[in-house]
Amino acid sequence: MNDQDKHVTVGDTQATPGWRFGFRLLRVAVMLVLAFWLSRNGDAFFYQGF
Amino acid sequence: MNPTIDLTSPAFWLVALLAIALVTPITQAGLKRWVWAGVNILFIAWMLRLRTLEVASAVVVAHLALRLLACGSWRRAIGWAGLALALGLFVMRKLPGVTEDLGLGVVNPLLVAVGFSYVFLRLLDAGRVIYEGGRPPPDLASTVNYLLPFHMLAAGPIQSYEDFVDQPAIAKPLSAEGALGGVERIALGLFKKFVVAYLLGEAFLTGFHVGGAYFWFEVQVYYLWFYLDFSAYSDIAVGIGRLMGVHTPENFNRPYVARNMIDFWERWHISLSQWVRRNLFIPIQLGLARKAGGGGKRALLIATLAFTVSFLLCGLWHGISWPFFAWGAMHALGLVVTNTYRHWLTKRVGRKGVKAYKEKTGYRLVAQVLTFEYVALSLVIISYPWKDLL
Repeated sequence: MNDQDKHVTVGDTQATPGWRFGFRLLRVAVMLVLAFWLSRNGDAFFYQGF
Repeated sequence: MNPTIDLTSPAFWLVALLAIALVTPITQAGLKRWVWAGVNILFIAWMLRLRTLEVASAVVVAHLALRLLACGSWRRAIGWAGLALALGLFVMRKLPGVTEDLGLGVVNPLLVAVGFSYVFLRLLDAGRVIYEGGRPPPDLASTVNYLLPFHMLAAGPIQSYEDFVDQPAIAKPLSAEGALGGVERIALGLFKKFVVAYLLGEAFLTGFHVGGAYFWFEVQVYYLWFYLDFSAYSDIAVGIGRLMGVHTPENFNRPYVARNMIDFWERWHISLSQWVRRNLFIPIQLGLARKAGGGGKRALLIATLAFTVSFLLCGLWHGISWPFFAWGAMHALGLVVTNTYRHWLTKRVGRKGVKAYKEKTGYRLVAQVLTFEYVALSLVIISYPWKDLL
């Protein structure tokens, strides 16, 4: 199994304690809020032009 | 008509939510294929409105052509005709002036909207595999799902046809862990693009309008910015795919730590480099080897030619222009030098010697820095405001 395959399966098989699960949710929320806030100034994805 | 897929638009996210809600719970393979196809068509319809019929007709034509490639005495002729047609459409996608001159001005916005650069590569991959008998042709729903997956339309990844056919018809039921993993990838992508890359761009990037030492500083930052921007899209696509139970290949694996250009292309836009390997490099290499025969020096020469032609074409796929041609040539040169050096080193110190050599920290660091700088400079070629110099 190469690194890519390992990456794909991460999170699908490992059980996470409740507090860690909550922390991950919180981190997602913070990232989404910041991204949403700043996306109003951003443009479309650069690489799409290709 | 919206000419490109804007990830800040509610349309993309509404379709993504609809896809996750509708496709994920389905446990019957045929139904899942058709619902997934319906979502993909809905997304195209949302973007193109009345032009959806043209795109749907083109998919039906592609579907029939792919089926004919699998059987019948005309399959060789159909293969060449299909390749010519796809190449013609690709040129129209890349050179809008050509479509204007031919009085087909409406074609280019349609091709841009469906991300034809990527559809073109998927179509060629499927055509080659089916022609060679590697996998059966797709049914109509699978043709839509392979050629027009809404979450991979704008910037890939470019799923191989073999990978698409071989994926489980029904993925494992989505667990809370799996769902969180998918949402994390989407959030990470959005964060990388709209927070980190945006702030980096605002703070440091000038479009290479500042000279001197700042230019070299900007070259470094630009590579990081480019990576964050591009890999963010792949993160979002992989996250959405995971939530839908649709396999979406990984496209990046820490390219900035690559030790040489061969290593770099195993880490950067992986799905594109694998496409190039399957559809350009290997056929060219095998074709030349059959004609010229094997042998040490000859094999090296053949690999050199295959790298050069493959990456010049790869450059032109990104854009039919001199900067992209030069970018392709620079990457081809990097790959040829890496391959030749590896060949020379193996001959000199043997495989064990090469392994020991590569494990040296000093060697690794120098190789990583040189590769980083080489790639960073190649990105300047395609992004420098050359017109300002004229």
